[in-house]
Amino acid sequence: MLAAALGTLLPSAGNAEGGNAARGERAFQRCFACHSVDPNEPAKLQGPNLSNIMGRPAAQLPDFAYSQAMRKEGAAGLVWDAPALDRYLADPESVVAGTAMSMPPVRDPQERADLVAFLARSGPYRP
Amino acid sequence: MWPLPPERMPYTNLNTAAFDGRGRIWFTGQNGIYGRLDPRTSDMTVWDAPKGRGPYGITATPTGDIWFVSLAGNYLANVELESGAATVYEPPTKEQGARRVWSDSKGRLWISAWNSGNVSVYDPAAKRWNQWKLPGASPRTYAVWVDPDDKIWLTDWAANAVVRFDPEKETFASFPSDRPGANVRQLLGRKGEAWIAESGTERIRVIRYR
Repeated sequence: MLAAALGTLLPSAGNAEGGNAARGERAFQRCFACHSVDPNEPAKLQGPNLSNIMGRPAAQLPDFAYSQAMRKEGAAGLVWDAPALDRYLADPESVVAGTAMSMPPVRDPQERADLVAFLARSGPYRP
Repeated sequence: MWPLPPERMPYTNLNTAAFDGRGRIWFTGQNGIYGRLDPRTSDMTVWDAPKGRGPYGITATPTGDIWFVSLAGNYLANVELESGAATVYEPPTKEQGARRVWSDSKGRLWISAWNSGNVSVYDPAAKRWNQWKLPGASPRTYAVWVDPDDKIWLTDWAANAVVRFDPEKETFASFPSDRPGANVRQLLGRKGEAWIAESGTERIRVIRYR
């Protein structure tokens, strides 16, 4: 049932085939320095924890100091579903102007789809 | 070509490198390592970084000492060149996000702090810190380079500008890009010229100065 629910959250991104979470886990190593997908991550990192991010409104974690730009988009209704994550990974500035995430754009649609599939693996957002 | 030992971690996210005074190249990996390679013998050693993930910029002083900073770890570290042991130095602002570091001609370490928007300096001889906030409401200091006159060049992503800091006068001069989102991750130069790689516009820019 969870897989079916996630399937609805994972439309193909750009020209990519469906995302592959195993490849996405490898690709996530680029993100690992700043983000964790461990809900019990003890380290205080540069970026917010990404466990259960699918469906989570932007700037939602109470214990993370989001940028003003991200808080503004969260207040405006930005929700991290698969299309939003795909757009953000492709061009962070175009989605959240002034974002503190400094990673270069992920230009490969397949890699973005893989990353989104990996992020979805921790399950949907639980308010 | 020298691959990193895979048993350390599957992907180290290599960041930057600097030569020490003995011909070895030292490097950082954002996922939590730093290392040393002797290109003459191919001997490579990799160490776990203090506090895990985060090692970012690295620099050599004029005497060949090696220092690096940790973005996620929020520290400056000096490595003992033979044992590889790292000694951590905590900047005065907590969670400042030390991203890059560059030495001036006197071996002082200049640091660009991403979270705080500061430029900070540590003087190992005097064991003293100092720091200044870049201009603007919410600066994001990314790159740092110290020119041959010991003036400090920085990039500020929030202002979309290159900033020159004069440590003696404690003043900033700003050189905004003419295109939005320049996102300058690295700059360096030579006397009279600061060379800038605009990662967001795919252009190389030079500022000629006196």
